[in-house]
Amino acid sequence: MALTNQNYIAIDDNLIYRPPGFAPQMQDIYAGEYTTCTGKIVGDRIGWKYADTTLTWDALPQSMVDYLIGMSGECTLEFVAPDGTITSEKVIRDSVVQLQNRNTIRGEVWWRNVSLELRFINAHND
Amino acid sequence: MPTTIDRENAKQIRQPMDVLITMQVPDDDITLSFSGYTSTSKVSDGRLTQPTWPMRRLADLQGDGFALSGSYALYESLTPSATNGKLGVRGHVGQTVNLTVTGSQQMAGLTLLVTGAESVTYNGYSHEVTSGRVSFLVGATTASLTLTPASEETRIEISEVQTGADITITNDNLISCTVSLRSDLSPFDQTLPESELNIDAYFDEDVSEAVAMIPDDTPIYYQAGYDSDMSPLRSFYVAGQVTWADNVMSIHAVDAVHFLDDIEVVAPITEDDSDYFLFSVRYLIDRAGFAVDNREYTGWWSKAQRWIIKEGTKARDFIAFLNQCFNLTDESCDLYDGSGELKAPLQFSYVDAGVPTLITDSRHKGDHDVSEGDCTDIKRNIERIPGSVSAEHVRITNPAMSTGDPYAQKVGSATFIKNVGTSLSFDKYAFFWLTGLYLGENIDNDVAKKLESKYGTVFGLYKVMPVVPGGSNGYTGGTPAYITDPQFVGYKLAKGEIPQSEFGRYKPKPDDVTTYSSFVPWSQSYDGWRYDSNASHLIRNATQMWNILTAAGVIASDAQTIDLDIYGCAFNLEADTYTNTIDEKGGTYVYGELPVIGRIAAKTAADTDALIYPNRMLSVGMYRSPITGSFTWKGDPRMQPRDIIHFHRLDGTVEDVTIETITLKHEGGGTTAEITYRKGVI
Repeated sequence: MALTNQNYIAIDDNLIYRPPGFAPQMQDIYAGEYTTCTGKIVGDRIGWKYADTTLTWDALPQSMVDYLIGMSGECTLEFVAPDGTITSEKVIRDSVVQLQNRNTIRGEVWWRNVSLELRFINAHND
Repeated sequence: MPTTIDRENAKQIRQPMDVLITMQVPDDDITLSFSGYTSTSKVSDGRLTQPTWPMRRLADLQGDGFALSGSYALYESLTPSATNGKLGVRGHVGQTVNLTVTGSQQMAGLTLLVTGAESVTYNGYSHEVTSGRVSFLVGATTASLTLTPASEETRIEISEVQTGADITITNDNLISCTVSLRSDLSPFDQTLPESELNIDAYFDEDVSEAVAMIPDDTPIYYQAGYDSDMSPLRSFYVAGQVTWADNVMSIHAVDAVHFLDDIEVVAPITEDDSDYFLFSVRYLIDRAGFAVDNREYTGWWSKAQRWIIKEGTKARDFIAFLNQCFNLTDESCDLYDGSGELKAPLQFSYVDAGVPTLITDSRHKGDHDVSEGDCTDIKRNIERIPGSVSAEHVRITNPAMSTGDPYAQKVGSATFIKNVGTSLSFDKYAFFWLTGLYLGENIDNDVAKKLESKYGTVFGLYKVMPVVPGGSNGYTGGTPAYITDPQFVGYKLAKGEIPQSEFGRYKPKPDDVTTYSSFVPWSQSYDGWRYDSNASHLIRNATQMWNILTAAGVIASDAQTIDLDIYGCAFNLEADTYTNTIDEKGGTYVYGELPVIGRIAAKTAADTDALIYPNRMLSVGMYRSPITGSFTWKGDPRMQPRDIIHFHRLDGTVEDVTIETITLKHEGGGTTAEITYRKGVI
């Protein structure tokens, strides 16, 4: 299902509630770095990438948790960037899904305090 | 005016450099012709070897149709040309195209540039087209190809067919690239080191077919820098197999120096023709396949001078030696002639990162500024300056030069036995020129080999041209003629005292020798020769130094022996030592065997000795700084060995240093350089 709503993110086209406070940080990538004899850092900025991040939800329904648990290898994460554009990035899961409290609300299973570490593997050289 | 590289290098954090590496394997000796495509193509002109001609845009409803701007031409409306473009070979929509490629010689492989095709089938095997390109092995003079369209809606359009393969590597697929450019600025015994290029590159597509086609010495070109400000194109040559594993291609390439390894100096003593020496150098470099600057060289080899270069000297050693000699900037080192006359700056400039080309005004192609504060791993090394430097055989002493005819001195003896062999013996070191021999057969390489085996290490050989005596006024066995392909390479300079000939002096007999006047020494005027009082040998009446004859004779019958005295210019070779006037306690450096024995500077007849070149070289080590160093810096691909760096030290001083080696590393998109230098402008 395509991502159209900024209340959601999508992992491999599966819509999941956007984690509160989800705001991936862009970070530069450097190569050929060294420290000079005077302590300066010298290097080439070869591009940027999104910093690794932890997705944290207060609560997620079982169906969305299943998407997270089902992540395998390289996945596509889509989210609405602060400027409103829909951004697509390759990610890999960097931890098992942390599940702490299981609840049943009106017959549906919800998990509280769900978290997951993500690593962005795309690099951009623009 | 700072360039882009300068501006980026001034930044603490730079933009990444572009790296461009191209390798082309086409065999230019093969001419291709094409056939078999007419019946399967919609339109074609068969122009498939004009890579610079654009494919003409056609008024074709296939695909997105055509624009109504008039920029699309009808199929047959224009003659193919660089301006009009070409048709190539274009099939019917959704149908296969057949193409037969015929080479003037056997083709190792083919590369097709084609759009709309999924695969090319040759000899029953299908090769997938990726990114509009396909390379495959052929191994035949004719290849019949079938191209399959990518879909029922696409039209196959072949724009180019080349022999071999071509490969391009950019930042997009470069894993690492290490460029090691090297020179040797040592004070003594310089070598001509080889520069290297090592590449690991990742390819999405399987290009192993193309890799299989890459032979040794395939040119590979490297450039780095920024758009519109790239370094000079540096040429390397593939050395060893290009490997392919897990879609990573690994290439090892070296510069052109190795081409010099197979070339030997064939003429050890140069003519007094001043161009000869230059010719020798040009010859060596030309044979290695390099361009030579054709500038005129005037006014500085005008002094009579000879070079004695050891026969069999490797061109690489010879060039390394010249590097050292030509490096002299101090007149007291005397690159120049014996009278102290100047001294034109014979300099090498360097191409392919390592091999010199003759001749330029400056050996330093680049000037760079580097701040110590931008560097790391800064190291400094010192060597001890030797108190003295010595070498054998750097001075000629020759009493004969100052008395009478310098050539009329007996220096040895020769024995010739028809159909058996030849032997020579020398009393002294000597220059002589053995020519005009006629033994009833051409003196050939066998004779030279026998001499070689008899005398061991050749100390100096001189190519001479045997002359057949003239029939009209002398020997009647043949027509006067020069043997245009000299087989007999003359003679070593005997090393040390060799006992007198065991053979008696030759006494000419009427039936042995018709008349000596029949001998016409090669390339010399007849007037320049005379017989000695016994008429047993020719003596050259030349006034030029070092151009010596002589022995001559004719043997009429098999197994007959002729013994001749060898006359020439005897001399002694002596060791020489250069002493450092500043510090005599630094030990002694002794040169090993030198590839070049020397240059004999012009001296007047009154001089009792003549200096030869290497003794001037002895002082080089004294003049060259004993201080070397190294540092790691962000790197500039325009730098090359022998460039000057103005090294801005932290204490505010500026030190001029000369780059000895530079290793540029492009890795992970970043670039750094390790630089070693020797202090001073060398």
